[in-house]
Amino acid sequence: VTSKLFDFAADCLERHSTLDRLEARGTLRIALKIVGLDVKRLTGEQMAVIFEQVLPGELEKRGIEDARAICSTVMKDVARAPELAAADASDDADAIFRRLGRDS
Amino acid sequence: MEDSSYIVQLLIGVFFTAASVPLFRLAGRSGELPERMLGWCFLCFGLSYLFYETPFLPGLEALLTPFSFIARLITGAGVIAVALFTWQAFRRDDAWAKWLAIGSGVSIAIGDAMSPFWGDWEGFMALSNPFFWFEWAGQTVPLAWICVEGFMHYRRARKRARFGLGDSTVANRFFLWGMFGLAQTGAMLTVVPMNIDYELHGSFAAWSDSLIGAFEGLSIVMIWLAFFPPALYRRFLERARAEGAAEGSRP
Repeated sequence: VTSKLFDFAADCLERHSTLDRLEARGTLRIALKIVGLDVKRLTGEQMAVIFEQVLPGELEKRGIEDARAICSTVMKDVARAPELAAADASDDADAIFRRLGRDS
Repeated sequence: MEDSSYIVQLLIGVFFTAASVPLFRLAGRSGELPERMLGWCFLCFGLSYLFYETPFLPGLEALLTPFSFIARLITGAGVIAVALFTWQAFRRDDAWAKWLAIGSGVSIAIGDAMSPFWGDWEGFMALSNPFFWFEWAGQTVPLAWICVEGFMHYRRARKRARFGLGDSTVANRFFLWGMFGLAQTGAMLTVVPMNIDYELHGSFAAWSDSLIGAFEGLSIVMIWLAFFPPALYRRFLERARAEGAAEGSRP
């Protein structure tokens, strides 16, 4: 099971690059793993970090040209779909452990 | 039990019981299940220590069997609460995690319900009571699960912190939680040779008593630092975070 935001971003990446569906999803999964993110629950902020800091390098490693421009285009698409990020922003382990330490 | 070590155990019980209060208060404010489950876990652990150790107070020896049985039931409830916490906090979307929590609870219930039929009210007879192992496995698996999730999320949280996502204090809290799970699992593993020794020789070996005491001490320290950090530890974490940030910004 993947998050809606992940599915949407992977579709955008496939559309704007020469990667096929499997490659786009796989590359995005690798980027998430590098940053330590969960494919089931993502926020817009986390996705921005992926596309700004990690994915350009990962795409270049795979011989994709204009990687930074592609990532920027995908991010613009993602920004137009804030409801997807909101749908994923439920309580995750980070939020729970932050609350447990701060409030108790 | 060695000398007056039951007093230390009673104090541990008081610590766990006291630790549950702010968690219940937090749950009252947030209305969220994880803090409520953790509160129940700590309360049950605390009460179980009180029931286990009270019969060692002078003149209360006759209470050993009934209080030990009650303590077992309460401990089981505490472990079920922590299994539910782990499922909700770390694996809410995973069906296997739900079934692991439920399976652990069922295993504990079977062990607790059947042991008396083998004459093992205290849950000490690892050799002659086959249902000892149901209870033991039902308790050990969720505690080991705490350890695995704690360390796994610690690793991920550190990665995220390097990219400016998340908080190194929370990452540290995952580590401490993993250490708590490790200490609890260590205690459960020590219980096996300890109980076998008891069944064979009629007394607990001093080494196993000491080892379990060490694991319990480690558990207390981890919970204290994770959820009720003293100012000194908070300053240490702040300093480490500042140093990490400075290192990250160096060219």
